[in-house]
Amino acid sequence: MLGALSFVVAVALLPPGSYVALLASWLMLVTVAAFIGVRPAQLARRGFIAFPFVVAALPIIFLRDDESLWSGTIGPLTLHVSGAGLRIALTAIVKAWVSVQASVLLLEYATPASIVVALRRMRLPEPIATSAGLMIRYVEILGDEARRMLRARTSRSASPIGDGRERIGGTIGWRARTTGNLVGSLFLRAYARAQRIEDAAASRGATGSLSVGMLHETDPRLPVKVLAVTALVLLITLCGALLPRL
Amino acid sequence: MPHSHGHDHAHDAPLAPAGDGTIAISHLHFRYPDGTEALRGIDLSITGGEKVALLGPNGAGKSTLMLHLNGINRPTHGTVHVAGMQVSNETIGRVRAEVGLVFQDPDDQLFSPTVWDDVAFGPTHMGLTAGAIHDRVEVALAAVGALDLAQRAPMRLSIGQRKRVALATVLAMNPSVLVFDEPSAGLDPRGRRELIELLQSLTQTLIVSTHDLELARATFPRSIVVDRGVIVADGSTSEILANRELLLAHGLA
Repeated sequence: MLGALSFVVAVALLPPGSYVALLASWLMLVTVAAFIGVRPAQLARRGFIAFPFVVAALPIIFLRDDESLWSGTIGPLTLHVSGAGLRIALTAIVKAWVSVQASVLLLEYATPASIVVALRRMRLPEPIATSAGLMIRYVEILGDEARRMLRARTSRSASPIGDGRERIGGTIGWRARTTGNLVGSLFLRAYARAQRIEDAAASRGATGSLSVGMLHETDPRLPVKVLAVTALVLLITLCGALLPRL
Repeated sequence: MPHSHGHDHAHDAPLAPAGDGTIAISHLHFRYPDGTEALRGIDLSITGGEKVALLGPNGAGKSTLMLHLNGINRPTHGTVHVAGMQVSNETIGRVRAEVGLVFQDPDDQLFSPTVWDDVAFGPTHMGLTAGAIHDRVEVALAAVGALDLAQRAPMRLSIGQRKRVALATVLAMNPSVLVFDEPSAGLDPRGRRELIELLQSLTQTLIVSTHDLELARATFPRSIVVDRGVIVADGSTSEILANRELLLAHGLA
C-alpha cells in the first residue's frame, strides 16, 4: 500500500514534459507486474480507466496563452493552442494512466483484508478503512450486475429488415436516456443492496467495523520494504530531474 | 404513456412472429476465454412451434447454449441456425429480432423508469413507428396480464410481476423463438401456476432451461438433458422423467 501510494505521489510530482521519466516509471511498474504475473499489455489496457480524465485535462490546452502553437476561430469561438498547456495536459494524462496502473497492481497483489489492515495501520479513520474494504468486495458484484444488464439490453437490440431501417437504433437522445436509465437503475440497486448488507451484518452483531479476523503479525521484512519504497521514490524523482524533458 | 398516432397496419398482427421459429445447431463447441470448454459437440434440431425443456445440473452448459441462440456467445466450432439464418455478424440484428431471451433475474432486463418504457425498448430499437410501438407494447402487456402495471416503476413490482413484465419486453419484438432461463425460480405456487398457463398459451417455439421438473412435465412434450457440455438425452419428457437412473446420473434427482 505504502509502495503504491509513494509511487503515485512520486509520479505526480514529476514536472511537466517528463515523458522519459514517466516511461521509466512505467517500465518499473511493468517489471513489478511481471513478478506477480500481470502482462504489460493487460496492465496498460486497464490503465485506460483513467481515460475520462482526458476530458478534464483538455481545457488546459486552450486556457494558457504562452507558447502559442495555433490560433484560430471555430464558429463563434476564438481558440489558442498553448504549447505549455499541451505539455501540462499530456503530462497529466500520462501520469493518470500510470498511476491507475499502480492501483491496479495493488489490487492484483493485495487481498481486501490486507488493504483494510494497511489502511488501519496508516491510522485512517475507521469508516474510511471499512468503506474501502466493502467497496473492494462489492465493486466486482456491481460490475457483474452491469454486465448482465448490458447483455440483456444487447439481446433486445434487434435490427430487422424492412420499413423503418433509418430509425433502427433509435435517436441519440433516446439512446442517451436509455443509458442514463440503466446507470440510474444500477445505482438504485446498489443502494438497496447496501441496505440489505447492513441489515444482514447487524443481524450478526456488526458494529460498523469490518472484521478481518486475527490482525496480521508485524512484518519482519518491513524495514527492507520501507528502504525499497524510499529507493523507488528517489529513483523516480532523480529520473524527473536528470532525464530530458520535451 | 405515449399517445397512439393511429394504427400502423404494417404491424397489425398481435404478436404474430415473423420467422419460422426453427433452430438447427451443428457440432457446437464453445470454450470460454479462460479455457473452460463449456460445450463439447452439441447437435440439436427444433421445429417451429415446438416446446422443449432444457434440463441438467448447474454448470451443465444450458445457459451457455441458450446464449448462442441470440448470438451473445459465438461458437468456437460449429454452427447455429435460427429461423433459417446462420448466426453471424451479418445476421445478428435479424437473429435478435427472431429470438426473445428472458433471463433468470428479471432485474437484468428491466432498466427503465416505467414498465411501458421497458417494454417499448425493443420495438423502439427496431425502428418501428410510434403507433406500431404503442400497439405492440399494449398487446404484449395484455398478453402477460400486466397492462395495469404500465406506468409502475419496475423496481416496485413483486418478483412475479417483474417476471411477467420481463416476458412482455421480448414479446413486444414479435420473436418466433422464446428462450427462458429458469422462469419459475423464486415464484410462489400461484405465480408458478400462472406462468404455466402463460407458457401453454404461447404459440412461438419455446425453449426453457429449468430445474423445475413438474414445470417441464406440465408444459413441454420434449426434453433435452445436458450435462458437462454434451446432450445425454433427447426425447419425450414423460419417458425421460420416468428414467430415475438417468435423472440420478445427471443431477436431476
